[in-house]
Amino acid sequence: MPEKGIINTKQFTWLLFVLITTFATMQLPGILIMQAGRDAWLSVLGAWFLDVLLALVYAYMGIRFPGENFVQYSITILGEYLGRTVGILFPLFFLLVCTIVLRGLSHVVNTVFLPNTPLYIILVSSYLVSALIGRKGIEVIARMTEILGPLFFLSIVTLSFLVLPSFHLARLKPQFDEGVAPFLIGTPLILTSFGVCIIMAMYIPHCNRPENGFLAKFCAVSMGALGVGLVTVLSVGIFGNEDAQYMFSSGLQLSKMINFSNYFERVEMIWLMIVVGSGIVGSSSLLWAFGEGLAQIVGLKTYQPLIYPGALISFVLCVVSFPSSLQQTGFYHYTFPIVAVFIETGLELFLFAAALILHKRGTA
Amino acid sequence: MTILIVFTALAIGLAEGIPLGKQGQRKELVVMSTLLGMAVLLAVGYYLGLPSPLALLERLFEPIGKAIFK
Repeated sequence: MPEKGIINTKQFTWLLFVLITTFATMQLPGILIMQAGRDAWLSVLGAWFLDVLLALVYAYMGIRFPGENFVQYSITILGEYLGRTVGILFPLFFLLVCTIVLRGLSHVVNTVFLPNTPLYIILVSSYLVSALIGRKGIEVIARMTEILGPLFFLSIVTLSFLVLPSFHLARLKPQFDEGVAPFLIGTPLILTSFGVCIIMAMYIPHCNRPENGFLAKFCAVSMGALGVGLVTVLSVGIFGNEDAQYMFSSGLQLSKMINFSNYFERVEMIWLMIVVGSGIVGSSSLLWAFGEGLAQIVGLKTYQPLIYPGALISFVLCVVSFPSSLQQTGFYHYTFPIVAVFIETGLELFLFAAALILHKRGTA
Repeated sequence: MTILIVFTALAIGLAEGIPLGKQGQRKELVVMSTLLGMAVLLAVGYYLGLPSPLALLERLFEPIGKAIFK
């Protein structure tokens, strides 16, 4: 059966929040600090603003083509053949993001939680759980994010308060000491990670109030930007930008600093459990979007048989493309932003312009 | 690893394919089999030393990324 799940605006918001924040807080703050130095937090603000502008286009397209996601309206706008060719890039992009998220997540689990367990065992387990959830459909994923999303947000805020005594404002000064170039280059870098929430175009047709798509995205990106901004600014203020830029997961390093008079230690495990849970649920929504998008391109009655094969392809890509975490970080740093800008911004703006020029509208 | 991936693909093919075959959903069966075939081909290609699709993407876009980012 095709996906008939319906989600409400609150679930829509948490779905996006979990995906953005997991993707952006895990590895990105270090890379961003390397790029923008002390101005990294300003890049987060800039990316938030640009992403909200981009959300306007996605929300408008969702209303112009009611009941259709970008895979479907690519076909409506560009016709059968070109539309399918363009439309298939979106599901493939979600599969790529899923590969990067789960590879990064497994590395963190392998390093911190289970150092003696082979990485592939962690990867297989993560993919298995993600695929199981993804196959259950959007409603199940949305219900899980309703629990994990608030927990994740609260954990970031609590973490920030607990490490605040070690924060030194002087480490953030001076701002713009190397001009505006680092800030301007850092902004698109983080925008590509926030931009993963183009997945909103897959959720809009399943939302009980599609006109709230923009509101949901605005809330999710604002909370996500707050989370990433806090982790970034605290990392610079506590470790200094010279050290923070080389940290694989600066959020994890921050959580390692917390202990309560030697009675309650290793609080980072709680943080990590929430991050891992969110990461797996976020990946399941990416696998779902891949299956749903591909099923619509090919014209299948159901997306469910495509979830496990999609997960297997993603797993194989992890194994063959990223034998070490260094390769994954290099890909995430230099290649992913270019691919993401093309898909998230270029392709959608192209569809938006084509719809306006060709006077195409949805029929539903 | 390649053998494990081939067996996993077979297991998924059987678990998902038999119900699809019984329901006469041939198109779904073909697409699913194609995806599984791609996974196996990627794994075999890696075993034979062929570059992965992401390595090709990297070759194409990494120089641009390195020119923009530090």
